[in-house]
Amino acid sequence: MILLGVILFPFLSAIVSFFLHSEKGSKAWALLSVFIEGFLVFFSAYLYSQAGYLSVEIPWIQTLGIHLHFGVRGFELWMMILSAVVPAMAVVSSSSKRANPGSYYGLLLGMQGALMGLFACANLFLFYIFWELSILPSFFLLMGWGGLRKEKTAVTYVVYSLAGSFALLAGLLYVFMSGGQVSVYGQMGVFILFFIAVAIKIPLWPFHSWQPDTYEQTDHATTMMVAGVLSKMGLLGILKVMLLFAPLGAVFSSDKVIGLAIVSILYGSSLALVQGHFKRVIAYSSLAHMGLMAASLFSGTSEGIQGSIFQMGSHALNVVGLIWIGHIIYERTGTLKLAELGGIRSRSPFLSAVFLVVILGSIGFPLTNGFVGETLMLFGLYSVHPLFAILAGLSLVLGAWYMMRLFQAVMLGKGNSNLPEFNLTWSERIGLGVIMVSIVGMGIFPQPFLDFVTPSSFKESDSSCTQ
Amino acid sequence: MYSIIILTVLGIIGMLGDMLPLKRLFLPVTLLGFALAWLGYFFEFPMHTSLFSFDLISMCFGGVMLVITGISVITVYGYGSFKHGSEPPYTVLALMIFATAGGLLMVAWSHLMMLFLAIEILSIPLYVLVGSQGDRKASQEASLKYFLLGAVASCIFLFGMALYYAGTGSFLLGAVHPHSLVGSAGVLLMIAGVCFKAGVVPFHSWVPDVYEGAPTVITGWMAALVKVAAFGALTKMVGSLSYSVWGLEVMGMAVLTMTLGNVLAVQQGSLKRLLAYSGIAHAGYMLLVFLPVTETSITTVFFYGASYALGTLGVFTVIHILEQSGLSATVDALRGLFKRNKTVTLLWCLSVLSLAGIPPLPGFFAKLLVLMHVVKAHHSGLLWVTFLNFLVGVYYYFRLILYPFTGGLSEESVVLSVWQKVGVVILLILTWGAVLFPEFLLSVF
Amino acid sequence: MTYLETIPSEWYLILSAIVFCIGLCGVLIRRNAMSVLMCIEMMLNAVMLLLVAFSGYYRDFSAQIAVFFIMIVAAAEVAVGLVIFSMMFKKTSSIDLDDWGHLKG
Repeated sequence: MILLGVILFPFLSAIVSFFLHSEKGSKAWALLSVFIEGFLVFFSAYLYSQAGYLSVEIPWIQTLGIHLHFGVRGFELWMMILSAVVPAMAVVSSSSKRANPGSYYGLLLGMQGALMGLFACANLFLFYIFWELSILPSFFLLMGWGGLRKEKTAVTYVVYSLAGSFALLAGLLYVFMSGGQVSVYGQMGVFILFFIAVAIKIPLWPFHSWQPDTYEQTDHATTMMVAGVLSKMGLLGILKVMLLFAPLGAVFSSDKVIGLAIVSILYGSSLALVQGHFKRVIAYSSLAHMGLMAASLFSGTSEGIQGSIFQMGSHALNVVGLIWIGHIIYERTGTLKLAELGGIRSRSPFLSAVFLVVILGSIGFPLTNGFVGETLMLFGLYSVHPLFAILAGLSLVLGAWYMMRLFQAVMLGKGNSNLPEFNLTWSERIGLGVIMVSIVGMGIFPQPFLDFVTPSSFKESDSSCTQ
Repeated sequence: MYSIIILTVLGIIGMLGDMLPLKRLFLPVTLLGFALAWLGYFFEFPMHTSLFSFDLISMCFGGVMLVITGISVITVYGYGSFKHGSEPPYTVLALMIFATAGGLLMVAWSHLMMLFLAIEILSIPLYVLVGSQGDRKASQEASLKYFLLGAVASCIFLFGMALYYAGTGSFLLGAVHPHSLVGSAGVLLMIAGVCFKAGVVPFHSWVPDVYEGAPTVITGWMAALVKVAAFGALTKMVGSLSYSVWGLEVMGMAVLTMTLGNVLAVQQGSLKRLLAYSGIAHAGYMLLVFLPVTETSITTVFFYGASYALGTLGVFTVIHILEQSGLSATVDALRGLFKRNKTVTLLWCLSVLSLAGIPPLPGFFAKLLVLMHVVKAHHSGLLWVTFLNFLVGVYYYFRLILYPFTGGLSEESVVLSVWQKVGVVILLILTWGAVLFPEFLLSVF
Repeated sequence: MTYLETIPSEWYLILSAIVFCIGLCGVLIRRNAMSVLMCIEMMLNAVMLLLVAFSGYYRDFSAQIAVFFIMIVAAAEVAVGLVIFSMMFKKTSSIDLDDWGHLKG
């Protein structure tokens, strides 16, 4: 029953939030809501550690045999924790004045509910519903509170997303038509359809072109949600649906998919090197990181899958940290163009320190969270083919390069002489401190987190290898 | 029978509305009458005579039609008193009630003559209502076109009925199997006559003109009511006729209807025309349900009709509100709606998303039911055609979702009259009700 | 053997089909609203002819009652139609249908 509460609560508080008008009131309500939701999720994690499996099943539309069936295993719970933490960060980090704050937080909470539902659902029907449902709030957030080019970006975003979800629907229909027993050729077809859906969501090259614009044009809280959690939907789709319903397709085409993912690693890393906008650097670096995670999910080895699931969490943490720092800078200076920034270290050493730690985590420096995940993933890829591991390993080198370039451009140098004061508020100090501590903590003591995701990832890798 | 009698009495009261004392009671009495009319079904259920059969189909479809007219009566009532600061348009309300009586008859006949009378009782008030904005040339032109084409369609239906009679010697469908060529031709012509009302290609040419010309409050009500009534009548017809007589033709019409409707809707700049073409496409999806008729067909067509009616009513209510604020009903008029009124934008988005079939809105379940029906019928070609059509539909509906959030032509906030607020709130509640408890509508059959 | 039955029933069928088709062609071709209305009436007459003829053939009165209903409905329809035409005439002083084709697209 707690699962149902976890999924319904954000929706209910979103409805309340739509009726709030004042900036303060709606933010207070959103904060309360995300913290209650976080408590619910952690409580269900506790219950899970006691029982080993959580599930709830309630009849919804009996005529069609559709049930509200939710059940979580380890990695799903891990994703739910993620989608409890990231919205909390998004709400805490929001301080600027917005038009219609009530609707804004309502949509944010609605997106949280959709993600919770997607991660916890246990049948294909609900999976499709929540998949589609997660598109709407992000679209409205982009449309209502985006930057100057929001219209074009929103159209691109929605066309890509809907194309993906229609591919998903087509695949699901095919599975439904064949009654679950998909033939070998059928599995190839279904695999391709599902792959289009997840490749758009993750995104992978060549389905990525919605992503940099969307990152750049969205409000920072929305970017946190899209980069931190929404992109993980695709990876979860691989684990939850693709490997389960088209295992033969995965066996036959895993090489090609890994190849594509490696192309997007190299493509993302090299483009991140030449971007002139803070958020676009993050977008392309995300492209590279997500590519690595997708590649190692298809490696079919337990290390690869475990590392990938672990990295989903640490990538979310790092990217949220980066976007938050970007937002703080943007609020103070009014720009995120790298050419106009610089010299912030002298104004705020604390911000600079946090930025450095986040960057180290993001490039996989030892003793940070990125190191654990990336090492495991590279192990996994190595056992498929050494070349894959070598090419993917290039992302670490390139990552160090573009991240240091970013740090240098933003924090060091003389920069603008009339920089304003960088007085961080307490909520920013605490939030960034938490991120910094968890990056290092997950790097030094990864074992509890790895244990958390182990049994389930073994189960999944079994199902992908046995065929 | 009670329901028809009650509606007729209400219609006569409405006709006399201007002269009656206690005018303030008109709206409550009408709404109470609608509730009583629906309860009337329970007193005589099921009733089968040689002319009428009040069964589950007539009760459920009739209930939907009563809800549609009830909501529209509220908004029209408010429209009259809001716009002119004077009397509500009693004559318009009376004609709407009469047409609803016709709609109820269209799903409660067992004798073909009654079906013909029902179609005419529905249509003749509609011809007048479409032209009821006498000062607008478009309204008169729409009325003229609707009248001429509708009269021809009635003639075609009647000729089909006469041929059926000539072939079988009976006015009862299913009583005699039409082996003869004459009888089969009669069946096809009758289906064509009803399909005209439903707006199925190739009998669709009136739809866009009439939707555009009619006063907007009437358009939404008419679109919803006629579609539900026509598909209710078709459900009753095709169930008792042999599939081999009409199967191929209806399949062709279904494919043509959804494809043409969707393709033409993409290019439209006028909101009402766009929705007219999309309504044509919806008629195509609903026709798929009869290929072939199975035990789930009635459920599907009923749920589809109800969800379409809800979405259409919502959409046209918003267009009407936009028109009242001084804009013409073009796609561009939607710009900036979000800033002008949030509740109206919410209704707009929910209705359009439901029509587009985005989960978890009722339109999604309706489309899912249609797809499942096609899957079960093993028409894989048909399945992919339907699927592509859904895709096109989502494309142009999302354009409509996009516009309210862009920079607007007008910045002043939209003000609603009290009755419009009531109508909007009822529509929102019904939409959410259909999201949370679709089982309520799906389990009746 | 009544007078009606000396003629084979198919002939009635063919006659009414011909009348119906003439009416339908008239609706499609004529541009004068009055003529179109008259063509519609002609189609209705074809239907009534068919019903009456086969009513005699089957010795069944229900079709003749149906004819009465059709007459009444036709009268109501014509009433509405004439009102629409008169409204249109007031606006443009013409009952030519070609003057009324502004809604397009």
